[in-house]
Amino acid sequence: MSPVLNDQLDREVIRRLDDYAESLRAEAPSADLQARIDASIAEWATEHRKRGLLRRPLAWVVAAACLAVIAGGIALLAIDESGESPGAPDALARAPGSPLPELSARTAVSPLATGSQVSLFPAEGAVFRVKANLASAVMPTSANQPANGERQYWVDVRIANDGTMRIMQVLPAERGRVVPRE
Amino acid sequence: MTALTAEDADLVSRLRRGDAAAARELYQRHGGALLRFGLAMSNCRQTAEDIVHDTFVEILKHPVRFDPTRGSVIAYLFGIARHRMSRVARATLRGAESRDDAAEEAFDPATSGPDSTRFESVQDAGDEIDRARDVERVRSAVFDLPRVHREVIVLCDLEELSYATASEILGCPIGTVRSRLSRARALLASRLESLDPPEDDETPTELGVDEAALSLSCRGSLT
Repeated sequence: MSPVLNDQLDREVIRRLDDYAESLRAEAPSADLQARIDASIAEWATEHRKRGLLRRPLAWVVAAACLAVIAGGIALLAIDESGESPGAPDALARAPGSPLPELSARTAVSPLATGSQVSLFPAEGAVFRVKANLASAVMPTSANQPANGERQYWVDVRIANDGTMRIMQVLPAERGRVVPRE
Repeated sequence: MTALTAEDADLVSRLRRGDAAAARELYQRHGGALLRFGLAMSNCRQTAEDIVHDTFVEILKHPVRFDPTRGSVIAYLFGIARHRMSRVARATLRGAESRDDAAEEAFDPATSGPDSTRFESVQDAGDEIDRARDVERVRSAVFDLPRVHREVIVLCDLEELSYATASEILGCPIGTVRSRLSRARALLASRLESLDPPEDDETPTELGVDEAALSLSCRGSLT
């Protein structure tokens, strides 16, 4: 049978529980418990301190290692860049020459790389105007051409920053500006 | 969040930084309540003190497990203590033959807990004796309640925690706490009625009957 609780019985139970609660409140932790708690706290504090000491140098070592890696990376990049810089003009100077054998038997970079002849596009590439000589025994010659059948052309070559080369235009030298002969 | 719970949460955050003073303060604040909870639940001082100790060791070792968004520090501590108590109860059940049988045994002051000395000291005053006997009956009746009802009586009536806090500790809705409490009080009234001596019976109830149960329950204390 389920017990039924009316208000009077409820008050009576609560009153008796209050007495019990009061007697419980008189209970204090024993000296033994206090000693065990103190010992546990002291042990825990010591362990925590040890862990902290261990953790701290490790953090410094990790930070120093990170700094070393970053500094090393920056130094390597700087060395790499300084090593490439002097070579760049050579590459640029050589590049225009390399396709020329395909174009003609005898080619040369124009020695007069003036502002009007060379266009630089730092972001994309550079355009070189190269003088090319083409000699042929069967080539028809005009009156003002040299007698040996040699003709001269200006070749505008664009070298992009990704390394590709493109011939922009080829102009007969006699139609364009007069180029001084070596 | 009340100022008290905010201070408790601050103590736990100091614990995370290894502040021993915060650990002591936390024990000073809540050690007593946990001890009373342990006493009422286990009816054994040794078990209760073991539970208090283990609860504080647990929060010292893992203060990061406390999440202030999920409840108060007191609820968290009681939750640990309750979990430990369940383990003790299971061990007690395995270790003890039967609490009812033990209640039949005679009281031996030599084997009883520290409570016996306290009650011996008040035996001179008649009213105090009656009151002590009544408290003993209530203690025994509370201890006889099923665990789910006992803990709600201990938390709400003895420790006077709010229903909200009790629901956090017990992990159930407030409505369930209320209904359990009502049922627990009814059961307690029924048990007290059976324990109370008849009006015309002048023979005092044996004081230490429940102490035998206490000492028996101690056999299954924390190992």
